[in-house]
Amino acid sequence: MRHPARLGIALTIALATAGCSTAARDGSRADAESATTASVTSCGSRLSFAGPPKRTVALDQTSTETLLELGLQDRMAGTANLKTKIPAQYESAYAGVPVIAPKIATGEQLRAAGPDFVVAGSADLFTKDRAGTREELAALKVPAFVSAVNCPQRNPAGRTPFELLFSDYENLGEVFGVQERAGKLAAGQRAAVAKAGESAAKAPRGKERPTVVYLYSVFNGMPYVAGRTGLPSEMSRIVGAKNAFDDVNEDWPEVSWEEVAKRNPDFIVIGDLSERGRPGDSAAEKRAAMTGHPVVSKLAAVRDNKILEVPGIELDPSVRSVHALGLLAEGMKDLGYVR
Amino acid sequence: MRITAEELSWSVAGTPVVRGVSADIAPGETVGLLGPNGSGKSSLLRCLAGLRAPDTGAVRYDGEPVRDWSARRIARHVAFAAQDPGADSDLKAADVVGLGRTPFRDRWHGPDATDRAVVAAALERVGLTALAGRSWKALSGGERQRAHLARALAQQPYALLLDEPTNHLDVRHQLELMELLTGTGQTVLVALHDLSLAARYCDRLLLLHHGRLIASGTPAAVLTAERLAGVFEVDAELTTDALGHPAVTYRGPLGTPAEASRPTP
Amino acid sequence: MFLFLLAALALAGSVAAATRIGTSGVGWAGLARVLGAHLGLDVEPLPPLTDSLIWDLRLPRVLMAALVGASLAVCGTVLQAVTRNALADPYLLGVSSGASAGTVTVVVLGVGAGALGVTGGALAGALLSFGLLLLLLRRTGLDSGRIVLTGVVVGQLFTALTSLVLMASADADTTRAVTHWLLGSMAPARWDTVVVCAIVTPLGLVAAWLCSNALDGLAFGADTAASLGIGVRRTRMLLLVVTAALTAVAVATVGAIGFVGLIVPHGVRFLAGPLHRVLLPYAALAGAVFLVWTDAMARIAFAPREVPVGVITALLGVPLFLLVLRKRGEL
Repeated sequence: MRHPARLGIALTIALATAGCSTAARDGSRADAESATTASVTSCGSRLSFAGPPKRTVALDQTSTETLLELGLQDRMAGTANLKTKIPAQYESAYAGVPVIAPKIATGEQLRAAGPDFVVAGSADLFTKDRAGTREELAALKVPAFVSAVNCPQRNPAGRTPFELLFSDYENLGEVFGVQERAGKLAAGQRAAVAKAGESAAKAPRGKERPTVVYLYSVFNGMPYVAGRTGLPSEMSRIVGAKNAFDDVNEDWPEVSWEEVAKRNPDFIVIGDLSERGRPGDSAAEKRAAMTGHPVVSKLAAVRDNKILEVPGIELDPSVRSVHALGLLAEGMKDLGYVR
Repeated sequence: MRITAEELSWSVAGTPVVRGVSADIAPGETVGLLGPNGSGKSSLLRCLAGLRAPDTGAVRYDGEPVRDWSARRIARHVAFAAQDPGADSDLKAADVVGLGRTPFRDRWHGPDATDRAVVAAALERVGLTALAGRSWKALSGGERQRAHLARALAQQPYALLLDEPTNHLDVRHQLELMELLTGTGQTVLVALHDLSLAARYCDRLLLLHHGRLIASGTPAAVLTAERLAGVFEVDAELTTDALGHPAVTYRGPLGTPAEASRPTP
Repeated sequence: MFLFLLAALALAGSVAAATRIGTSGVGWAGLARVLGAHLGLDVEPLPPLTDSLIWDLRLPRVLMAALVGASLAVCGTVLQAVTRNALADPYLLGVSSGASAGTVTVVVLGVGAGALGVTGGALAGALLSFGLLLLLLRRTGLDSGRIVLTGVVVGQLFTALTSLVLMASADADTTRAVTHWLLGSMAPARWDTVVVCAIVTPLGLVAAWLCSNALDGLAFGADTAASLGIGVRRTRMLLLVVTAALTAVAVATVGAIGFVGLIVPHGVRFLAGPLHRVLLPYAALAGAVFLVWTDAMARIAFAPREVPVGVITALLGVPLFLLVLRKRGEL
């Protein structure tokens, strides 16, 4: 049932948004704290703000960490859906933020938190059976932000996942009026990506490019590895390696150990998820699974211990991903792929 | 009401079950339908009750063909009771009898005073008034048969068609039920297995064999030793009992293949 | 009649109480203010987000639970009479699975979008599963003892079809959403789906209720029913279509919730007796109350986590299913 009144509100917002978008662009030069209006596009929706949000709810861990990295803990009214532990650098800031749901937040939990802004890493948290749709929230004057990284169909073609990640920082900086800090963060991470890319220039090219398998998790004895659409594929490109499962059009496809052996990668990256704490999550367990496998244990990469360990959570796009990228670039050097 | 069958044939999946049966049941008559298992008794009964549409031939009630009658209209004329149906119902005895009022009720209304009075009278008639509130599951076989008869009576039909209502009943209950039936003064067509019982209570008998009507008439005329040998494959003797009804004494089955091949001791 | 009013009052009370409890306590006064504000009375409305929590999410959800509970209980009652089997239930007979397969096909393949398309797909699926059930039972008849076994087989087939459609063409997000929905959850209920249900459910209930005499008559088999003037084949078809429609509308919105159609009719028969004229309205009310409270339990029992309501009904339903089997001497 559509409420005429509510439809009216939505229309008003839409009109106001149209009016504000130019104002926002003009106001981008203004001082961070004095910004009164802001307007950004997020995954196909135009969001507009009368002032910096004061009660933001982050619906998942990546958005939570991004907001904490931007120093916005005082503007947060809640977090939800923690996949693993919050890293040490955010712990004290995180402690002050209420957890509205340990798992995926429901529409009731979200509304009960009284948010004026909602941020999520992906659009699939905004469904009727979860937090409610973005349209419903818009009608309540609660803009819903979705990370550009998980919005493939709405993004301009050709932008790398890292560029999309940085655009999130800049957009959030705009919304909260902390452009400067967001700009610094983006610039710093851009530099880190560029630095990691330096090794690519010195790595072998063409057919000589080292291939890599990312072992994310082992569930029911089956390995989950990085496919083409996930961030590791892009990370490999940056550091001058090639993801051995680039032919699989998924983020984290489940494959067989035999298939891993068949791809015979030059080196292997293990995602350490020990902080998540489920069976098979630690790097040691994943190592054991490979050395214990009759075929995989015979692979040169396993035999010669050409195995890197990175925090598994950093292999998904987040504010921490450049850290894993750095580890990867270092690892390439240590393994002797960079001349 | 007069029920007429004209050259009635009915088959199932291409196998003829009732073959060209013509019969006439006069108003007020009690007619027994006899025949061995699979002779087509039940099917003929269902054709006459309007539950099966005959392939050829016609069923007439008081001369009027019923082929195009609605189920409801037929139900207001004849009542039918199947062989011990519905063993697992939670209904009360009175509710079961109340089902007989279905053809007189519309969808919107529950039972009215008339319905209740008719049900009470029917229960009274079969002597079940005391058990009216008892669950169907808790009724004995004899009580269930009587309840079904009461249900049929509650339909206030012009004719009763019953399929082996004495099945599973002990002798006393068989006799009671037959007394009840003949005491209604209704037109009654009843399929029976017990030849003596049929001879004792029916005005006329119809004898079916392989779907054909091979004899009809008074019990004495229909029940002959030759017919029993030909139709039921039994060696029987017909006598007259103390009350003057034909009585059947069985000497044994006639030489069936099993009998013939059995080694003599 | 007095008892029926009492039951109706119990439902109204349950709806009010279940609307009150949940994530944030609003209290009776808050509830009254939400209702008052939306009914255009001169009361001070709650803050927009709290108002939305109650009016946009919880109230439609509780009403949906009531409507779906009534639907499923009536479907179970009708199917049990039509099949003369105490274990019949849209879930066990595979009708819910058929409706699920229809819904998933529409959602995933995108044929005929919109709420109407989804409901249509569910209806097509439900009718298809009924058709298959009738086809498989054409020799033994619908009141065969084998109906539950056959129903389970049909259900499995449609479950497999659902998985196939998902594997073949859905992306990870759709698969995730559909899998959650298949377990049965009231969370996606909104006013637009409540309105569809609020139209179809009462129509279905009245249609079933108008067949009360026939449902009673069927207790003694098709021949006896027909001899009472009931158009058995036509009534059966009508009732199966009504059941399919009620199940489809429920499944299209809140997924396949099992065992409501099994538990409720059995409980109500004890109180209201087996005559459908009385049994059906009570079953509808009891089903509504039952699902309102099971859904409330699903919301609050493991708070802040929410359990799919289908999980709770199954937890309650399976022991009863075994009890009925045992009573029938099949276990």
